Amino acid sequence: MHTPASEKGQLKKKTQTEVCASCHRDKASKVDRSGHMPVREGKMECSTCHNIHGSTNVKLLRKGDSVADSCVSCHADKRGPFLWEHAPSRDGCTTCHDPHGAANDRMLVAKPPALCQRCHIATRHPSTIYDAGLVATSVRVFARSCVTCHSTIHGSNHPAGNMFVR
Amino acid sequence: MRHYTALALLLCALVPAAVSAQETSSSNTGSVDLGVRGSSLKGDAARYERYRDLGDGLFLETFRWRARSDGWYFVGAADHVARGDQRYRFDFAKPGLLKGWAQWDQIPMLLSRTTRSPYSTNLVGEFRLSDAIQTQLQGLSTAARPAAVQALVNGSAMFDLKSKRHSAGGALEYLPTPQSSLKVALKQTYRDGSQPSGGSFGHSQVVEFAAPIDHTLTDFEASAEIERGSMLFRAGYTGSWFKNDVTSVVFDNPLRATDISGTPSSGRLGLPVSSTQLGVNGMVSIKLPRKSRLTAYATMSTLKDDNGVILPMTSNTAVAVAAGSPERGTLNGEAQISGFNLNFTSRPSSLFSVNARLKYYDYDNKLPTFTATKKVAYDGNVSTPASPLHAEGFSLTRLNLDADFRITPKGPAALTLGYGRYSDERTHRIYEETVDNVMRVKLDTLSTGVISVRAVYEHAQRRGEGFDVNALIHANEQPGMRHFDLANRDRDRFTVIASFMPVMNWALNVSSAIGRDDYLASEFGLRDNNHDVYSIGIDGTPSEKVGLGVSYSYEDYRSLQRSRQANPGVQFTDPSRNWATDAADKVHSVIASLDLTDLGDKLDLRMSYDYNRTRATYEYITGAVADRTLPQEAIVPSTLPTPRALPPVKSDLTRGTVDAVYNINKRFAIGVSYGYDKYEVQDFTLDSQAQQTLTAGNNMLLYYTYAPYTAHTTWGRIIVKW
Repeated sequence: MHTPASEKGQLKKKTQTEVCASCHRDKASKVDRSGHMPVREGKMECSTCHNIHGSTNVKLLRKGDSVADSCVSCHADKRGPFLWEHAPSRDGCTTCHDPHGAANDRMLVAKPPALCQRCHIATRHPSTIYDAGLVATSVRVFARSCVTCHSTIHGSNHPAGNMFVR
Repeated sequence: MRHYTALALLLCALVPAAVSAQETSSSNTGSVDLGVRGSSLKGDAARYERYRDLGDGLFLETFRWRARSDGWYFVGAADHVARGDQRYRFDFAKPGLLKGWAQWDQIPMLLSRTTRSPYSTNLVGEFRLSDAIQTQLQGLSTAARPAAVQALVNGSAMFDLKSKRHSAGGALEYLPTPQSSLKVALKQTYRDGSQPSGGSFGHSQVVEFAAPIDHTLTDFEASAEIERGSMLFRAGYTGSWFKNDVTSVVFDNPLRATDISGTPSSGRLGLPVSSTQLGVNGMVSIKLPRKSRLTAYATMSTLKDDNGVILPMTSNTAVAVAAGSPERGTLNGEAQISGFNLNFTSRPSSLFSVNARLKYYDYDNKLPTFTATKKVAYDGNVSTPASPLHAEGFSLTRLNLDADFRITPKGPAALTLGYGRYSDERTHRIYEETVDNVMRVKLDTLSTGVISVRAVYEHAQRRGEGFDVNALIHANEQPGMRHFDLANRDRDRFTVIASFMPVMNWALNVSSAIGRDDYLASEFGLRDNNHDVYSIGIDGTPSEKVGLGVSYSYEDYRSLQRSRQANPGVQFTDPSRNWATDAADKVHSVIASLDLTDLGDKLDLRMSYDYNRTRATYEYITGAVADRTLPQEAIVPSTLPTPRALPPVKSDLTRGTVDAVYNINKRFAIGVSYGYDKYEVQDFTLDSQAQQTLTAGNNMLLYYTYAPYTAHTTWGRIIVKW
């Protein structure tokens, strides 16, 4: 590892991403997707989130003691407290987001409404097949889909926010 | 101003250059890389720049300064000087005594240059339309409104939808003795700008607006560490203060000028409130006989909101009295977060080692119960729910145990057998507890110089206990729904990474990851989630002057989600209304680079190429899905209309750079760089075709879309070294 080609850290290759990609090729590939953090732009690197030498958190995460702790160490607006909480955002952000990158907006692991319908098929509109016929007419599928209305999806402090529409 | 700043920094750079020219023994070294950049861009400028400032004109790409004096080391660095993505950093160290750094960094996030909105925002957090516009639209017939709303949007000026992080921070580490150290770190990040958000006035009318971002996060850490014989102690304090200056947004209803019951003239949305998290942590590590170590770590913190206000029931003045007031006016949110880790590692002989980890994590949400007996949906009507709404915070307790036993026989490979038990207890979810039992086997070849292989197979079984069907019924969900982050699941994963070095300075790397998740008790929800990833790459340095690498990877992700399209009543239990989404995401990517240095002792040539091709499909299937529907599911002919297939989501990114630097002498070099970026996208909800559908109905959207771009960028550079 330590025959330095990098500016810092005495890495074998020029950037951290190149070194890590030697083994974690699938993760490095994800930074080239549409939704990504500023890794390929050079404003973040693998060690921004991970400490490869060891950490007290899971996944060698540098901050906190859970995946969510690590994410909200920068995205503190998502940490709460909230009156109404969306359970998976407390449990682990990676249920919905891929922090390494995804082809979907906001690094979502699947495209809404399909992503939301993995858990929400309650009666009426959540259980609808949003096929090509509805793409052109239903705001529940075009644009930002479900979160256009359910815009406080991580949590809400509005007394009518139990469905995250306020 | 930008140019003056860049020139001033260049002059600063040239001074030490001149000094070092006179002091040949000086340890003062550095470089500055500056020049002129010009771009030809066609398409989505925002998506091209994204987290960068790539404007044309003068640029100072990098400035580096390194010095050594009396045992002190100094490093100064500046990147993208005077640009929107600028970064400045200063490091210093006296080994064995003190080291530290300070940094100022800006990270822009440019989302769109083509968003448009008729809202005016004279007051932060208020999105207003003139009463005249609202009155005019209100007076139109239902049929005439959509065209009028779209004319209003189309007549609005475009604006940049963007935000920026401004981050300042620094850290110090002081070593009073070789066996002890004190560390402090402080970082403050201010983020301003806006992001797309939406609000609804009911199921057939939504608006979007550029929700303001105006918050500051301040993090402080301090710790002390001391080594005494075979023991290491560490104690630390952490503080995190989040301050949000905009905690609600008001947005006008384009179709209503005055409040009435059922239709408000505006809506109000809650945004996150300010909060503080303070904690302490401690660690003890003991070196034990026979190459063993025991480490214990504990942490405890408290998260509280800073007098966060619960908003009034509604912004609709016509129903505000009937709606009453919230049960309490402030959030009073609090959570106690605690954790404990115990690690034991031991390598008593060269043949055997053990690594065991116990991790406990508890998020105890102490939010006082909040009860709402009335609700004003969409700021419209006051309703009385059949049963009061209760807001109760989610709590979570995790206990993870991992143990790995590694056997290293006197042969070419090592075998590791591992076991993990991950227990999660949660409140207010469909399972009270889930337990994952994980078995794994790892095979590592020892260094042979020619080949190295690491293969891991893992089998995990997750099972839930204390299933609460009422949690689903209360939310009008199917009783057969199982949320996939908790659902019973069998997981198999296999990964292998191999490197072959048949000749000196050449390496062939291959890797594969195969995963299968079977949600074996989920009648509805995610049924399976599988992936196959393969990659191959070659790296070589055939000579000191040549380095190259090329790799290709293929990724295939697939999942099946099961649902039932139903209104309340007979449809709810009708299996003929079952359907599924068969989703697939296939990605091809290529990364290649070629470095040629010291060509003719003067020329450095570097080339890189990245290609990423993604195809995602969402196929709707009505009725049963062969081999992927639960055996106990009743199979009946579908009574749903045949769905119209969605078009695939396509995304192609191609990037290439050529960078040539001609070294005139040891101090000066000139260079020219060329960059090619091409992004192609087809997305049925966010691309240019979808833009036409954004005009549907009475919706007033921002036109936040995905669009392709092609960019050619050329840099002319001068590099000065000293």
